Amino acid sequence: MTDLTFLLALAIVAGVLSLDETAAFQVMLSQPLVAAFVAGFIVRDVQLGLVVGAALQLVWIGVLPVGAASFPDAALAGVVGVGVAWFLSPGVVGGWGIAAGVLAAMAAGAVGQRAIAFVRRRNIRYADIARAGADRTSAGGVYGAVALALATRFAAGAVLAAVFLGAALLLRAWVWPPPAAGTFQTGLWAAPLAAAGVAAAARSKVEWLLAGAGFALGAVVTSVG
Amino acid sequence: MGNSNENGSATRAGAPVSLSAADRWSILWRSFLLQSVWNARGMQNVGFCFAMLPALKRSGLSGDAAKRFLKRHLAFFNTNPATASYVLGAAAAAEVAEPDGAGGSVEEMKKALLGPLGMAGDALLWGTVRPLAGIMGAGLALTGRPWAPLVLLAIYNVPHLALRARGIAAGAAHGPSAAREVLGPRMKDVVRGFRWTCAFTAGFVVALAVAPTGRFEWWRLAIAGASFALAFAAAKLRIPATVVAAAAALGALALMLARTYGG
Repeated sequence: MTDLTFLLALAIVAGVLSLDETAAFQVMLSQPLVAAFVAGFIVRDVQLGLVVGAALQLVWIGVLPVGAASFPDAALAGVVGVGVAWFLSPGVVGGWGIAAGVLAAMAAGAVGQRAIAFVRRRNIRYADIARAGADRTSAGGVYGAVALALATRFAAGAVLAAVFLGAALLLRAWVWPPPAAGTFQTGLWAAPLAAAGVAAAARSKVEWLLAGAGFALGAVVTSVG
Repeated sequence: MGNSNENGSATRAGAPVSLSAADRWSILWRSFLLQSVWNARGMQNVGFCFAMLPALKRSGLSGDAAKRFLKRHLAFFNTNPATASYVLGAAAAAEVAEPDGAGGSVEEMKKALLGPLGMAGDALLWGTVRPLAGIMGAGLALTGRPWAPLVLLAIYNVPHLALRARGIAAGAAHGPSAAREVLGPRMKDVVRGFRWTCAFTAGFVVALAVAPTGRFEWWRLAIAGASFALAFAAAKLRIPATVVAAAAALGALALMLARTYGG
């Protein structure tokens, strides 16, 4: 596959998975770990997907997309993170492309957050279509509103993914020096990310104590194993 | 109240009807699109109406009664999408059993349940099961297990899908009182148990993240300890986790580029 085919495939995946965030199903296919894994599967680098996905999963562990709350687009972020890392340093698991990918993913998540707000404003109009249908004693408006809303949400995710991945390709072609093979100590940066996630998840004193106990046990286990 | 009954039954076939198993399945799968047209004005209103359409068909309402049905269920609605199934089940059964919204009692029931069910569902699924699933999945992924995403999906979806299916069935069979099973004081203990497990696992995962290859070195422990302390401080100072994480990723990128190009 060429780079453009990869870009197109990843954009479609981002659109489909971002539907799962709130619009349809909510079976957690949109979680960054799952989205990044799927993206990793597409570029045939599952390990890259796991590393980028785990990092983003931990960063956003405390995010609650409930009710009217605003939340980062995690599915878009997962796909963009893997795509950018892979475009910038393909085949180098542990290369610095991963750190660039994680950063790009966090930017994509923030832009996606705005896009979700935009889609939800459009939904006000689609809801009007449903209501107008009801005035004519027709359920057709309800079906139309659901279809239009899902299509808009899909398009927002896919287009944004294409923009971010396209930017990465341009960066590689014209600005970025050729990717150098480099090893990247996952422990160096995954630990702060994970700790940030813990900070977002743990709220009470008991929870912090338990997190500390878990860490101590983990340290013992890794030093023995 | 009595005349609405009259209006409705005038358009019905005559014999008493109830939801079939196929209707309940249809409502269940449609409930997955509850938030498809989420909007600031009516929130889940269009999705709720969409999920109720099998009940409209089963009730046999037409004309003005059908119009009132559609309007009734296009009214403001917002709760947790999983626990909403209790409302869907109870509302659909009531609509079919007593035509034309049982004289306003269906609307009252929806209004009474959406707040408590929303809080219960959000606290259980979003506040506890999802972070636990995410932490477990991330921990397994950092240690290189390719099936980590499957564990995340399983931990979340077993209770999630069970709750959705149970809600429709119990709501349809027992009405709004069925929702009591997720609103009781027992749920608080369940939520606390999940949260504590989540905190413990999160600490464990930080330790795993430090030594992804299973090889332990003291400088890695120092980094983890320092980031733990920093994260605690950031939480106390109310600095968002995203900012801490972005700083960490940026620092790591700068360090790597310096090592790659600096020799």
